[in-house]
Amino acid sequence: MGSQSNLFNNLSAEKGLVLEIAPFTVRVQSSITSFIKTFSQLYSCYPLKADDGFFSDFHIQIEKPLGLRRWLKPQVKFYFDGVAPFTPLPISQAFPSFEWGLNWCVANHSYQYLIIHAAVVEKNGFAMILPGNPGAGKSTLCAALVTRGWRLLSDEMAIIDLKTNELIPLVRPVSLKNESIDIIKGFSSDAFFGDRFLDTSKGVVAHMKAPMESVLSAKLRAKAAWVIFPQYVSGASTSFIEINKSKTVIELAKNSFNYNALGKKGFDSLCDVVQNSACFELKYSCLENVISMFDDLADNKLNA
Amino acid sequence: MCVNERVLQLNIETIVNKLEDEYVAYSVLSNEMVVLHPITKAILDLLIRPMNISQLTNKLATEFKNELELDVFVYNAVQELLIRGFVSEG
Repeated sequence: MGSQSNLFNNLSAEKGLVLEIAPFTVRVQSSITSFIKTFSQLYSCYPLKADDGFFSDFHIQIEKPLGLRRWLKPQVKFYFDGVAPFTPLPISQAFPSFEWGLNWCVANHSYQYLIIHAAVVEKNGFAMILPGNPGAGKSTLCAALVTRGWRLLSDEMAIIDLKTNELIPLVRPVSLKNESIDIIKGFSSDAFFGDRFLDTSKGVVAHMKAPMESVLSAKLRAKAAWVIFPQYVSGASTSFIEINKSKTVIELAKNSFNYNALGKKGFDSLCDVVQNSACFELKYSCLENVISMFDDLADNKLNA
Repeated sequence: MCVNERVLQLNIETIVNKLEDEYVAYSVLSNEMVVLHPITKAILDLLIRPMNISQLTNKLATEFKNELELDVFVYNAVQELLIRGFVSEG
């Protein structure tokens, strides 16, 4: 595990540090103090790899671009293998730029997996896939569930092994936006949050630290038991409607980053995951109701 | 050549999977995915062997004899299957 002071020192070193964010190994380097502070808070319990030339999937640098902008309205650039694929952001958004950039790295360079834009949580050994468009409330629901005993696999990507069709955890901080931040802070006093980042392209963003138990079990895969499309609707009573599997496959394909590049394997994996899952559409506004309902689902599945 | 005489065949890269009581087809060629109507599923099954629309409609007529305007349905379904890359003209 990396202590905060270790992380702080190693991140700013020339080669940065190598962190195991299973199933990937990520080399990160930055000399930006605000980034190092938030990174050290939110990634302090991740395993560090010895820097002995160990293979890293992604080499990431978070640095100020060269030139006059270093001093005048400083910016931050995300570098992947020494190349900056995105336009710079204000330096205050250094940590979000790392999180968004790492999402991009995984989604665009991991064709050994089927990847779906979805949160994934697990209880009693059964995984729940929560796909959804931005703003649907999947991260809010995911954050609430993991504060109530569900294991976090990912708040952003369902990563599916093409051979076994198991879900592979990619445990990282949960990214929350706008009203969701205070909703979850009010929901759980135990949840630890990094800084708030204002005026990002997604509004106000803050990251909830992944629970230690989820990080420690980041190599424990799970089989999907439910695919649930959540939609937060302010003031709505909870509605939970079963949907047919063929529709679910089509919707999941729309939410997939790479099924189209995987051909038959991707399609077969997608169908297998759905075939073995119960599929629902959920409209909700009360997190307590939903969590109670999901707990019952997980208990009934265990006792079935 | 008359449209109905065009010889059609299932693309080798068309995959059909069953999900409960429905079928979903995926074309690796075009990346199109579609939930299949029972007649469309039957069309894909028959097009494992090359045939034209008339032959196809005749074969389907025994199974779907109560279907109104079957020939129109088959014609439209075949056009869509062609456009979306599930079948090709042989």
